[in-house]
Amino acid sequence: MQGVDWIMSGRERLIGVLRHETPDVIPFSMYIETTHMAALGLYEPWRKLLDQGLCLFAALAVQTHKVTCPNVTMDVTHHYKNRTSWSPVDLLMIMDTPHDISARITTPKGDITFKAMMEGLDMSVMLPWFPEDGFIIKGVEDYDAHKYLIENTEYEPFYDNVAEFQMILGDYGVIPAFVPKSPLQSLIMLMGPRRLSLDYYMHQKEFDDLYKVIYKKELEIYKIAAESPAEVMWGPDNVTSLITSPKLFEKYCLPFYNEVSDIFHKHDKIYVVHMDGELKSIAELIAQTRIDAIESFTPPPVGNLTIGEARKLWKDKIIWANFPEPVSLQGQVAVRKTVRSMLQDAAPGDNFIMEISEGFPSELHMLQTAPTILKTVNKYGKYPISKE
Amino acid sequence: MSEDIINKFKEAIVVMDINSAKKTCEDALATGVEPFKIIQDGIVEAVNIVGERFEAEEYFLPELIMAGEIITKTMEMLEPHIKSKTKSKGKVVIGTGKGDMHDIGKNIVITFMKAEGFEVIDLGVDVSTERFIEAIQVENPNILAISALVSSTMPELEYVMKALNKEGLRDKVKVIIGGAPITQDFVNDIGADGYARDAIDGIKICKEWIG
Repeated sequence: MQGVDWIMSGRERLIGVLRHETPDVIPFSMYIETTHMAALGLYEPWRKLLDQGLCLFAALAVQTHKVTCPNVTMDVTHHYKNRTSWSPVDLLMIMDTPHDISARITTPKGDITFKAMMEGLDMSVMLPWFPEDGFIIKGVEDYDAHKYLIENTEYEPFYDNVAEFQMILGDYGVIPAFVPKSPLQSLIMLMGPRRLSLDYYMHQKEFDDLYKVIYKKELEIYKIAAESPAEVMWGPDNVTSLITSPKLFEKYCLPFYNEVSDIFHKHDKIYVVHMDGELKSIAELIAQTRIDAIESFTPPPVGNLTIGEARKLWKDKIIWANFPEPVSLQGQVAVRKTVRSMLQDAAPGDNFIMEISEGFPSELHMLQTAPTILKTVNKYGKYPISKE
Repeated sequence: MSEDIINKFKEAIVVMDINSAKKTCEDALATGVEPFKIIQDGIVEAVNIVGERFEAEEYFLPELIMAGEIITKTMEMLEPHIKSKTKSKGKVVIGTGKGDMHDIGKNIVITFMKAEGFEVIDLGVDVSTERFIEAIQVENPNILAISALVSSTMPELEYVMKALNKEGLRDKVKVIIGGAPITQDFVNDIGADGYARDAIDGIKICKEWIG
């Protein structure tokens, strides 16, 4: 594609790099939530950025399966505080605001209870993030109920949303199939890093049994995603070596990543995994995976592996690099300097994508920073980037 | 004899064997080893080794958490046998900044600091500037330690520093800040005293200040 005289769209650039092609300019993507899609057409500054090549990545928009769980019931109570009386209008407005929930999942093997803080009503996204009374799995005594829940869940393909959302985004973005976190990362979400560490050392057999149940069941979902019309498969793994140590990565993550990579590649899919933490200690193990792209790769000062180091180790992988958000606090001069330095580290720029994938200190910081990054990428990220 | 038992106890902590640690702790008490010796030559030594291995990237968070659990459990066994109180190394007020609910790093720091002999006042998570200020006025600590895992909490840390200045407390307390999005530049910009790369680094700095 080198030498083209037309401007490629954000989507063309992104998919091009994910297919190991070289675009005119390094792609720059941002996450977009489904609820924000409608606002795009109304908010002119964003439209300008999209026309200048910003690519939207709707990471959390589409799951390609539907779930049923016979013989299991879940009762959820939503707790809205500090309200003594509600009018019908208040009710409508308040329902989608942050609040607490308490839930009881009843299975023939026992009950699971949890309390959590929610940002809105979208439980699929927010559920495990802010547990108030510990995580869903509180101890080894909860394992049997969870194993029952997992083993008795049924999945069926549901592909309608892929085409629908892609039609909405058009050339402005990419809709991946959003697959579940890989088994170890799912366990971290279910029981939290503390319980995971303790159970790994104190109840290894039970821990491994539960892991195997999740592994086997997740393959069903990943196979459904592989047969979907989505080109890109995205796993929200939030990998950081602080918790997923080399020992854990080698034992639990590596075999899974490689098995599902092969499933995806058989269907000509691009396998992208979100790894936004410290990766230096597991970088060589990541090199051994057959994952296509390491997304949300965050260089220093937040991560601990530079783009240059990652490129040397991961020769065939795409580095989809997240702009380290604390830099936005230092002003736009620092933002420009950091983007240029990231581009230099990525020179000549093949297999490289720039993005914003993490939350900023505030919306204002993001609104100021995104145009600066795009402008800098468009100016200094023309392929091939020469070393200064 | 007592050296052997303490070495076995220390080794059990270092290799994350909670059952062996409890057993050797019990044996040490049964053979008359002083609880303070068990703490000093067993727990504190083990904390140092675990910390060194963490810095060498042989150990990671799971090992810090597990070692912390063993330390907490064995300290519970030792406490009833401790007759007189030792002098605290120093007092630390600790909490996560406003808007941050993540407390794993903070809790590891607390466990290890207590093992090192610090008195720790834990304000918990999502701590407001006002609450930090109030705690410093009431507790008069040597150190204020704040952690932040999410970048949206970072502006709140600046408010804490401004409030310390405004209330005339800045010179009375050392401030150390840690957490994934925190950088040395940020710590310098807001005028805090120390930047903790991680829990072990934070404890090291506090020991240098007060130790």
